[in-house]
Amino acid sequence: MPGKLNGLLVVISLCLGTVLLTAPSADAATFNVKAFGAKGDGVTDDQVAIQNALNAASSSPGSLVIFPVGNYLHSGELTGTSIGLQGVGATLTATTGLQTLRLTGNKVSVSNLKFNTQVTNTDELTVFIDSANGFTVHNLVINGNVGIKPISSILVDNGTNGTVSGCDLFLNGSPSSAGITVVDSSTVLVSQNLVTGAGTGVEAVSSSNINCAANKTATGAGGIIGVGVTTMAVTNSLVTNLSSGAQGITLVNSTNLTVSDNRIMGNNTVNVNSEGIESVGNTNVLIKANNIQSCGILSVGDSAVQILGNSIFAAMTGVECVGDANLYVQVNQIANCQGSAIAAVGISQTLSISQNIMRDCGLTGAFMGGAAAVVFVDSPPATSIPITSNLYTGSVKNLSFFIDCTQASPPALLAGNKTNTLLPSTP
Amino acid sequence: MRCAIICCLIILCQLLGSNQAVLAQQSGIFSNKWLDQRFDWVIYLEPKELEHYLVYPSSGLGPVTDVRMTYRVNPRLAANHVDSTLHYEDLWYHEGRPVGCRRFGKLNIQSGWQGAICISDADSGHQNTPAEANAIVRLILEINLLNCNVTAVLVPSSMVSPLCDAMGQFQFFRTDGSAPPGPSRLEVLVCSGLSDRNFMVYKP
Repeated sequence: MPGKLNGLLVVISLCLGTVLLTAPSADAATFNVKAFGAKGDGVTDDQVAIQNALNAASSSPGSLVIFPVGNYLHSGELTGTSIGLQGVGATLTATTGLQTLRLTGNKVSVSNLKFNTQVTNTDELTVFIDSANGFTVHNLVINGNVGIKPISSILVDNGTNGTVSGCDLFLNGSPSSAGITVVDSSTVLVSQNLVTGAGTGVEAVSSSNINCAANKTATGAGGIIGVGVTTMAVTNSLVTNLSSGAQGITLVNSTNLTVSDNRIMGNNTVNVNSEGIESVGNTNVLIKANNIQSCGILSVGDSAVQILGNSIFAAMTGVECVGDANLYVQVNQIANCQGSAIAAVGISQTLSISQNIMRDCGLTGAFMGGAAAVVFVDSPPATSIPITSNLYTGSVKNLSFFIDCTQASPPALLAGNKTNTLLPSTP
Repeated sequence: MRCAIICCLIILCQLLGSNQAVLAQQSGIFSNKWLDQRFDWVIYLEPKELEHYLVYPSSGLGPVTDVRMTYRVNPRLAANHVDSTLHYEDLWYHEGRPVGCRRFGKLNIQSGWQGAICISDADSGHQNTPAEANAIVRLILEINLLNCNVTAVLVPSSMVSPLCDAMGQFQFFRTDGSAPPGPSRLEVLVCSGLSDRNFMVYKP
């Protein structure tokens, strides 16, 4: 009851724009850092006061620590267990390059806080969710450095059933750094975050059930990465500002992947090493309805891959697939490629390329394997190769074929492919 | 013996002569190989004036132009990969107006297949161009009902312009081909070769 009363008083105080100072309590309750001596004046080192508040709250699992309006300097790591942190117009400013906040336990949360640093050219792990179950990281603004080592601004390690959402990360990071990293975790929603200035926006490693939705990244080395993940969805996200040679969304050695409705924009200079979506060594991959510009889709060594309904503009090769098994490239719109619109090499089992609408390819003659074709297929391991109902219009410069499938066996089934260029096909 | 051989050659020539235009297309730019690299099927149109047919005093139907339609399915898609040309239909025209039709068989092309209409060089005077344009539009509609596409109409170079003009009667107009393709657009290419492509679009 005292906890509920304290919570009610906090709500009332927030509504009135006042600061309520609550006394420390042994029950799950609300704790105000100013009650523990924190100044929040941007001058005083509040490290001890804040940690004392966190310790008091940690002694009562489920408690909430409130940061009233102010700029709280701290000179070291802050830790808490099974508690929540909530700011009200508050900023936490690190005066050293140490980890800022580490939370562990059950039902941990941190929300409505701004994190700054006074340190440059060092590493800073801002929020570390360590072995937490039922965590929430919400509505943070982080201005920080994640520069020198491969380090993340928000790290979830061994977490379960959690959310990282609505956070804006303005970072100064090296190509090996990341904005948000989820590792060895399960059932995590990463949504509506903004990451700029790090190497990678969001990365998930050795985890399961990762839902990465509606994030925005403007990071140089890569937008969103999944490595060794079981069941991951990357949807409705915006990936921009990719450096030359960077990949927008990269998925490696994972299973049950959905990449859909994302918008990926490479830099304006098309680079042979850049891909909007790169999938390597995965199983059950659905790449659907993405809008990709200045880069394409690369699938290597995947199994059961569906590339459906994507819009690709100004890539080197629109869709490039190598060594996949059971590949379906269907209903994509591909335009202004330097080389081929679709290239499929060494595909085994079924290779289906159908109902793709392609326009203006072969612009610079940069063809994979030198095949001057809009659609290039060289997949002798395949047992079935239907190439049907594709459409090509536009440029014939540098092109010798509409569909080039030179292999003798098995022959591709070509039917319903249409071009008004009169380019030939070679089944 | 020599006479027998000559007779056999004459008979063979007569048999083959019914499809001289097709034979003329066995080599060159519209050869079967050239067509097979681009289309799933080809319909050949051969216009020919029927001499003395329905030509009599007070006849309102003569002279009659017979547009003979044969078709060939790409052997890679044909049953048993057999390369054969089949007689589909004869359309009769009087001064460009359709006056009769005789169907010889089914147009055996499958949904989604795309192909071309190929017109022989026989109509050098272009007096049958309106009939050919009518036959082309009729085929385009029929083939669309089969959920198939007519990608191109392949004609001798001298016939491109008159045919494009004649198709205007049926609301097909020249376009620059720059518009993106759409599922509801009815487009066809009239061409005599790789460098002579005329984009025609239906504008109701």
